[in-house]
Amino acid sequence: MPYDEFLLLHLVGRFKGERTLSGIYHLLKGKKSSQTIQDSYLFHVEPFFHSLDGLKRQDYDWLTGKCLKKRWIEEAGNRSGKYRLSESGADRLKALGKTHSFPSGLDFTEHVNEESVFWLKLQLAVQTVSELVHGRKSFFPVTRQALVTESVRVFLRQPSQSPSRLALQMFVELRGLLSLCPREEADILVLQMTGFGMGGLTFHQLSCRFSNDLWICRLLHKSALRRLLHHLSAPDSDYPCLRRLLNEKRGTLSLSAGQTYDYLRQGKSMETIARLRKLSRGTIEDHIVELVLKVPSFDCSPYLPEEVNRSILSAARQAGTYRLKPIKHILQDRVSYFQIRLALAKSAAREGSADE
Amino acid sequence: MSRVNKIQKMKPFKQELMKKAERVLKHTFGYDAFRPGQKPVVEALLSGEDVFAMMPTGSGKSICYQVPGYLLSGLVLVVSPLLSLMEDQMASLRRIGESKVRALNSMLHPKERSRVLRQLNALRFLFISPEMLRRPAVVSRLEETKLSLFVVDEAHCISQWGYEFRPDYLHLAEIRERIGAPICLALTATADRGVREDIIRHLRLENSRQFLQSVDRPNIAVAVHKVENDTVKTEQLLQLLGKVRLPGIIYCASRGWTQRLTDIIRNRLPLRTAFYHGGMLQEDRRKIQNQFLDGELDVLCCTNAFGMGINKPDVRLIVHFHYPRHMNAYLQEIGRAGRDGKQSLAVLYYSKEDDRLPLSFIDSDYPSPEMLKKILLCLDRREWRIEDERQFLSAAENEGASETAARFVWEQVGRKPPGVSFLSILDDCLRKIGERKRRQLEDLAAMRSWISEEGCRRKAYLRLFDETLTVKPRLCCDRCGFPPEAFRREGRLGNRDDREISWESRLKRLLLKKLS
Repeated sequence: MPYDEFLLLHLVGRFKGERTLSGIYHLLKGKKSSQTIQDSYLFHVEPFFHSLDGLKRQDYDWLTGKCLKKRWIEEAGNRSGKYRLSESGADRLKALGKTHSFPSGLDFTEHVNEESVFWLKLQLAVQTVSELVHGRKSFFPVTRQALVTESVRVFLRQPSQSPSRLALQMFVELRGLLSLCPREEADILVLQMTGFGMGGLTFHQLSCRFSNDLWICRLLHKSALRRLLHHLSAPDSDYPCLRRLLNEKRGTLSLSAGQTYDYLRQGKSMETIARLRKLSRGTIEDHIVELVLKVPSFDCSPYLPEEVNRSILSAARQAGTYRLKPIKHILQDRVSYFQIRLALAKSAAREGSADE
Repeated sequence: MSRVNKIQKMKPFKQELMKKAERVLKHTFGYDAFRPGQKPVVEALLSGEDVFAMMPTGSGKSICYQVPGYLLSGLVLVVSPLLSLMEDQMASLRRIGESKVRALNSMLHPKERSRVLRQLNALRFLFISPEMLRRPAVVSRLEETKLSLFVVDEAHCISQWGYEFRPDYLHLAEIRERIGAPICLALTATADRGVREDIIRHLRLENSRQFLQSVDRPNIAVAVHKVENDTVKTEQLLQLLGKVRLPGIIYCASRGWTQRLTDIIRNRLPLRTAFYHGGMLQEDRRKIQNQFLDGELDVLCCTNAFGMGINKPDVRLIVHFHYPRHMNAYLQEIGRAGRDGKQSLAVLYYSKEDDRLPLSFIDSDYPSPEMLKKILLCLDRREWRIEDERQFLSAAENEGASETAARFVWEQVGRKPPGVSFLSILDDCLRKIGERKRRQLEDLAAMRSWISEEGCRRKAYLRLFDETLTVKPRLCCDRCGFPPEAFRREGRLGNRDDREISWESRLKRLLLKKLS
């Protein structure tokens, strides 16, 4: 089961010795820090952001320990805490790459902030409708998270819909969506669903049934889920019932950054926003970096004049790194860290959209 | 003299009420007769008396307030310590078609909460967590509502000596006064004398009617097996599981053991086995629980996090792979078998290695003196604040305190008198810790002495609850002896794993009603 090794070596390779192993862990967990979000764009590993949100630190440490022991990864620079692939690690990755690949649905990252809640909503909606259609009025809901139960309540309140018609419609739409997924992914998703007389399987149980590998099960699950969200939210999507489970209001912006965005559009300055929201200036800076990454129409020139942007990018090329400190050094401290982060974010966002 | 007259005058009235109660029992709940112990409680409540009732798990405690709920006018308020318990009780009421039932707890969306509060007068039953009951907004709404009964479920949580102490329970008597002092029913499962006295004192039920049912569950045969070590223990368990009637629950002392045992059982026996513990995601816990309730599992390996609020009538086997810290807990746990009244079996395995576990658990229930001092100093220096319970608890856990220990500190700092430093309560806290630990060690000693009991085990556990055995069941305990084939499994169990794998057919089974 070298899938876990494949994953870690792939990511260490991508980070090119510029990030710590914790940085990779945060990426997989989907930590909502601007550093992690920015890194995912900078190093082009967005598909992995939040891809293993259930990962436990001790399992991750066990994996990194294994790869260190085999000397596939090594510290870049003395005690930098940052890691890169060793020669044998690169070979190993190459060999693994012949037989392994990442599920392609991971690339659909448009709804990454919503995917966990959507998954809970979908499970609860299926469970509730399943129980109703079989005539059972009371059952143990798969989740009690208030946000989820409240929106499923709204979802169920479809006008003039009997439970059996609603169930039929959900069935038809889900079947349509799932047949767009590879078979194994669809199996993994549906096996987790709970309903009348059927408890959904946990990941642990799934991995016993499938490849015996928790990592691949989780990634396949995530891939399937992202495919569902992608097709569901497409402009021409024909899933009117399930579409109602989507949170249409906000895209991938974190809630807090969204609020900052609202204030900025009202013409408030960063200082005012920080005061109003009782947040530090640093946090507001994080939000603005996130906006640059995720909102193509957002204009950051008030914080980053074009000539400053250009000088930062050329310094970055000169330094051959994305690390902030060397760049600042080259520019003899004439620019702020915030400005460097903005410039890097802007160029990453531009590259990202050119890819598509 | 006048009192006698009054009672006599009430008699025909009372008989009339009980007739009505039996009609409700039959037409609403579908039972022909009250089970032993239920009738006197209902009778006392209907005649306006406060009641303290100790009834063993699975004896139908809920009927005691559910039936009066249909005869008295006003809302039945049920204080319940656990969400799963509330859910189970709501579910059983909904099953009989009752729609005027709601629950108020912290998991509720604020919108839903205010919806419930607005319609209190239209409800028949309201389940509420003790935390919710301390909110002024909730209390003031209850003050305006006509209440018929104030039910305290799992009342043993009020006792600091209990193994499930809930500080919020200590305020119940005062709140009951504030909301118009409705008739009170305190319900508890197995509780020894100390705990019972605590309940009565804290709820001010000195003048209540008391009904103490036997803690004996005659349809559960009890056995203790001493073994050399964990390896032998595991082998014996596998042999047992290979031949006795299931489904069964295996209680382990740690999360790691639940997983380890599950792997072993799955590898060696064709049994559908899963594990359950508090460290799992909430959704995963719920899934496993549903699988168990729906009969999709033969064996569940779990910690003591599993059980309260779970009402599965046909559990045939309870195994203690490690022994609990308290005889009450042991009886609660084996009480989850045989709720349908059919013959069931409880087996406890004991090896010397197990003796270390409970002691370390008791220690981890409290902060160390150094940790406590550090926390109190942080509070005095205002590095920590005590506005937000969740924040406080996670800060304490970051300092290395267990969840129980963190809760202990939270509860103590909340009681600090104004105007003195936090550090000044240090000695008082340490004294309390010493006292509680001593009690827990006594309980543990009682548990251990029961394990090494030479005589009848049933007699021995009844003795701990000041009871004597009146009728000895045919299959009593290992000391009295019983033939092992009495529990032999006949026929085959379900397929090793009959769960539908293909997504399309599973989806069909989930959402489309079978035509039959």
